[in-house]
Amino acid sequence: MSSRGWAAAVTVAATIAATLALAVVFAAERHYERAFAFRIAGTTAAYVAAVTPPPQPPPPPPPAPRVVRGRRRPSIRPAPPPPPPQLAPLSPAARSYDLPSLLTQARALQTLPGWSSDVEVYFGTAPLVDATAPPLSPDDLSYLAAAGLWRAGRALVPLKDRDGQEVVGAVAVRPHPMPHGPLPGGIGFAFPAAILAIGAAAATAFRERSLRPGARGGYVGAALFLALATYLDVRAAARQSTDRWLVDTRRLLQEAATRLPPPRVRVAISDLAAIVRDGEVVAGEPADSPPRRVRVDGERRAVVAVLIGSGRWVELRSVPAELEAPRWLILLLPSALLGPLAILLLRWAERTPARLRRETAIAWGFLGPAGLHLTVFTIGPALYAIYLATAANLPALARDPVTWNALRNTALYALYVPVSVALALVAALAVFRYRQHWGGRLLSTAFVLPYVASAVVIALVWQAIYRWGSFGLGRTDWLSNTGSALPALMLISVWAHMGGQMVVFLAGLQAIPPAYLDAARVDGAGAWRGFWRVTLPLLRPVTWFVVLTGVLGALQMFTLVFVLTQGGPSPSHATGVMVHRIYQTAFGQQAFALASALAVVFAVMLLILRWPQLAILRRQVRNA
Amino acid sequence: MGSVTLRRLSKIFDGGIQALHDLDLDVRDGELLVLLGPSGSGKTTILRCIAGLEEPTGGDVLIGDRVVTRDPPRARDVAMVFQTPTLYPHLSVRENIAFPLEMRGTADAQVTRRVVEAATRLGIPSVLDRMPDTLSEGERQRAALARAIVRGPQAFLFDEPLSRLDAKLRIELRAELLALHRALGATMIYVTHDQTEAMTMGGGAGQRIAVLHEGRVRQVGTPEEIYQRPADVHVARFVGTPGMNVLQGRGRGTGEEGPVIEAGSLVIPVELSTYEGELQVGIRPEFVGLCAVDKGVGNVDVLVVEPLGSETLVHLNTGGQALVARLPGFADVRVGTRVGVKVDRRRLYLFDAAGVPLA
Amino acid sequence: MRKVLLGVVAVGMVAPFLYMVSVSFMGEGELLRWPPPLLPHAPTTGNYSAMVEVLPYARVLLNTAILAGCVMVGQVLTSAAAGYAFARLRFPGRDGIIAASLAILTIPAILLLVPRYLMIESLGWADTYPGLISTELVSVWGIFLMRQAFLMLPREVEDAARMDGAGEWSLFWRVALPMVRPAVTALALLAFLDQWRSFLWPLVITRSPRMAVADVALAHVHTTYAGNLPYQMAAAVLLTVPLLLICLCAQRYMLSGVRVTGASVRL
Ligand SMILES: Nc1ncnc2c1ncn2[C@@H]1O[C@H](COP(=O)(O)OP(=O)(O)OP(=O)(O)O)[C@@H](O)[C@H]1O
Ligand SMILES: [Mg+2]
Repeated sequence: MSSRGWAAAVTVAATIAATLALAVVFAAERHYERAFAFRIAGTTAAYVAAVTPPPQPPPPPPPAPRVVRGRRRPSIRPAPPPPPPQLAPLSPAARSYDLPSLLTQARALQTLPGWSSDVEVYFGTAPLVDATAPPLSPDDLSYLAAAGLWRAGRALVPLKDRDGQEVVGAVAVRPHPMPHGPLPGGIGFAFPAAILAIGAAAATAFRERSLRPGARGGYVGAALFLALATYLDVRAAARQSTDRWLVDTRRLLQEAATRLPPPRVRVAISDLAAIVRDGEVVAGEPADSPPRRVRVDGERRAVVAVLIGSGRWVELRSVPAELEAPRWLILLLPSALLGPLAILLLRWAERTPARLRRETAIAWGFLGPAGLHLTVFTIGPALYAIYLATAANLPALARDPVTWNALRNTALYALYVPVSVALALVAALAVFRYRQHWGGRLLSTAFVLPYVASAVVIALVWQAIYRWGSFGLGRTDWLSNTGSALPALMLISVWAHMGGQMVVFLAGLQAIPPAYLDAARVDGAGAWRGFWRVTLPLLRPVTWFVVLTGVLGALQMFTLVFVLTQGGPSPSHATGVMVHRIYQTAFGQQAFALASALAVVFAVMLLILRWPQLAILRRQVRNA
Repeated sequence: MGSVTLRRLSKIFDGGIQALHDLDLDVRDGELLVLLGPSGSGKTTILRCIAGLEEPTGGDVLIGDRVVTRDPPRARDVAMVFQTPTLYPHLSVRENIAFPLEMRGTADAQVTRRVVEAATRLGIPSVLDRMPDTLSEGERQRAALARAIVRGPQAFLFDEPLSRLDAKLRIELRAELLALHRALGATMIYVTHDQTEAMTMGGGAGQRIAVLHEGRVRQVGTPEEIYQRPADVHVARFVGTPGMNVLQGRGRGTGEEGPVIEAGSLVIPVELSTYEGELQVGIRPEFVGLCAVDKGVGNVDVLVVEPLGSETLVHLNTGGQALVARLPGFADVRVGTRVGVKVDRRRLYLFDAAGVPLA
Repeated sequence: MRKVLLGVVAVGMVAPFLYMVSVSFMGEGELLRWPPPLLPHAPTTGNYSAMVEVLPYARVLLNTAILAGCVMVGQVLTSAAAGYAFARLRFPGRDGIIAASLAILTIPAILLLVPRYLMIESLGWADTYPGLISTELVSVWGIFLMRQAFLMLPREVEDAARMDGAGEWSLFWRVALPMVRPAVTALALLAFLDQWRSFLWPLVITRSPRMAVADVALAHVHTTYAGNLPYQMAAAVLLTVPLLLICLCAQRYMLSGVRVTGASVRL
């Protein structure tokens, strides 16, 4: 590449990286603004619900929503659609709101001093604050029952009836845009840092003409600085979203203190706490007005002091949003580092012969689908499992006798493998000996059938057979008997797995050159000696393979237990094996962390057995 | 336009083995150049560099007058036939021959016509619809040849295409290849380590043989030139069956009987006035004679006797160095005896210690 | 004499299946007697017609076929591509990536069960085909099987194809892949059979009977009709027959599959 082209590439890469990082900052700011909007909308809905009394008993006609429609009539808009069905079931009167008071309360919101958003309250689909605004779409309203909605720059949350059952309307909040910058005047770090990073890259590239290691280090430094700057901005946005909520909620609480029905002298803190569902309200001290960060019982909290009534203070607390801001680094760091990464890639490409470069690109193209899938669906989940496991109480796990019992059962169960392998070897020898004869072929088919059948079918078949085990004496059958349940499962497994193992042995036998046995025969060995001295030693790798694979499979057995015994007969857990226990923990008790911890421990144990198996495979990989 | 030129070509493999050293070679348009060299001398590497299968470490490859050093194989318009007949096992002979045309997007009608044409030219139209594994070795190599000629490339590269065939088939196909060269008039580079084959293939009018040794072209010339006037000791040793005897020796200007070369147990009188010290003396086996002890230029031990019918090769040991004599008919020599050696002094080749001929 | 013994053993091995078929034709009350009869007293096909409805048979077969088919195609394509890159392309870091892939083989399925479930759940894919299928689309074992197969190809064929003007894609698709057909067939078959009989993951990720695959549906019949063995056996027969038919059709390839994979370690 020409040096000029090179420098241009560096600059372009730096620009793209910086743009990406800025885009992430932008996305994060939007995210936190929305988070704030949803949160304050939720709080507002709770506030409205708390301060609005139930409908006055007498004035039934006209029904409440009519009032709203009547107000709409002078508007120049076309007549609204016929009243949506939501308006009809208002009759269980006590649950709903007194519409005139609701109207008053909603309108009062607009006049709150220092309130940083536009708010609208819908009763049914009808807007209350700005009566000329378009009504809510009925679809949106019905959707609100399930979740909040973002519509046209506004957060929509449901307004429930007084006992929180049905959705009777909605609260919409459009946050006023606010500068997030940590610097005075709302200037962010990210933008200047991006300019700086691009400038630094371009300057170095055009002066140096090709990036020396020293200059490269400088460039990586600039990118890291960019990452840091963007992170600071994101963090500021997160912090601000909490602060805005605290300040706005303070206004709401102060309002609530005067408006809570019925009017009383002293409002109870619990009444206020009911409004702030995702925060805490506790008795507090007089304090400065801006929100602060404090530690409460070792946990970080954002707090603000609220003056309710004369000389009475409470403290409003919330989990600060910036606590989870670091997760944005997952996006910020890579996009900021994309610049240096691209440069390194270009540098590598520049130094690498065209052919290798081409081949590398093609190879990654070929690896792409599998690599992406493995990253997303295997490596990621494996790491996630480990992460989940850290939340589990490991000492308790180690003390749990059921866990140890499951481990013991798993190991005991795997003892069937030597039996089935030995039988499979005998069967393979018989089939091999009579492979030209109908008897041999029949035998091999008979053995392979259980191998082909699914485990659930096998379980059901044997369950039918084990009925005979009760000898008609009204006794429990083998599967329901603590002493016999596990051996009964092992017997099924021997029968089911012999076929597959036999097939592998057969392949191994076919791979033995007949010359070896001929040579042994020439040397005077009989059939028996030939087997012990020639066939068996030559089959050793196959045998190892079959045993290892069989044991690993046995240790991870699940289906038979799940279908036949559910880990029982309880309460002895006589057939509780590890995989079933993990399954039970996860999907029976919904204890995902505990299940992951069990799975991780179990995987580590399996690893010990996997090692020799992997060694075989690695040898194959290397030899090839 | 179909010429092939190598300029200071060098190739160092990943393991650090240098297979080619700053190699220059000029193959004229329409020429059949035979590349002859012992095993491991870099013949295949040269062809692969020309074909684009290997990227040279240094230097350039030109086809016509276009530099193609960095071009992928398909941009070069050359065909190559490999030592082992390589047909695609999953395609019929017809599909095999059509493959290069399809890869270039040739129209179907034309493909059919040219496939039949190429197959007919190589005498295999009858096997077109068979699968490769049902073919004989000869048919297989013919099919591979047909696949090479079907798209009419600028140059052909043959990498010992006949070495796996039996002797009779080899002679037959050799003649066909020569005929093909005449008919197509295309540039061909033919690699072999068998110098008999080299002599036959490179023996036509205006054809040349390039002798390769350890990644360097040692000599380019007609068969006669490389036999009679080897450019260095390696060429001398390699060309001929068996090759020239080369003995390490010392020249001495002041022997009792005039200037001599002492080599092993031999003391050979020469007209040597200008050279003293280490040198190498070469003599072709046919100019080595045997005589009674002490009657020749020195005495040697007989190690092995190979009676071949028309001639007998006698392997001798002269002071630790090997010497081969080629005697007409059946010679009466016993293994283990000691005999005298005669040499034809006019047929001596003298090389300096580095292997360069002394004038 | 020995051959007769072989026959006896063979019949013994198949006996449970014969009993399954026999019970599937019995009336509900027949098994309550002691000793339970070996053969149906009054054979009836009522169990079958009931089970075709209950499963529901067609839907279950369709689900299973979709799962097995998609996974088969996915695994073959991704394994072939990745195996080809590992075997026949040179690129920096290749050996490291191969070692890392080997390490992935040590991760047991049970470790991935919970996190994959949570992931699919949060994607909203639970109880859908994408949720059922997506996690299984790549098999590291398959990648190594294909790599092994591609390594066996002679280099001359690749060179010849390059000389003939094949680009990287033609080289893979038109030359290399057809040449490893036995490995592809083996992988396809094993992937298909594995998925046809897969149980734990479908059990976890599907809920509605509409989405059940063969074994999950069968397990469901087992719990729903716990006392009715003839029903269960009829359902088992119904769901085993297609599998047997597939195996019969693919018998030839199964043998070659064992030959191809016999040398390779199945983890
Ligand atoms: N891919 C490779 N990696 C490393 N070294 C190689 C490679 N290919 C060839 N060589 C080495 O390069 C040298 C020249 O090899 P080349 O194949 O060109 O010889 P050759 O003249 O064709 O021999 P032969 O007549 O035996 O085919 C040899 O020493 C060989 O070992
Ligand atoms: Mg060669």
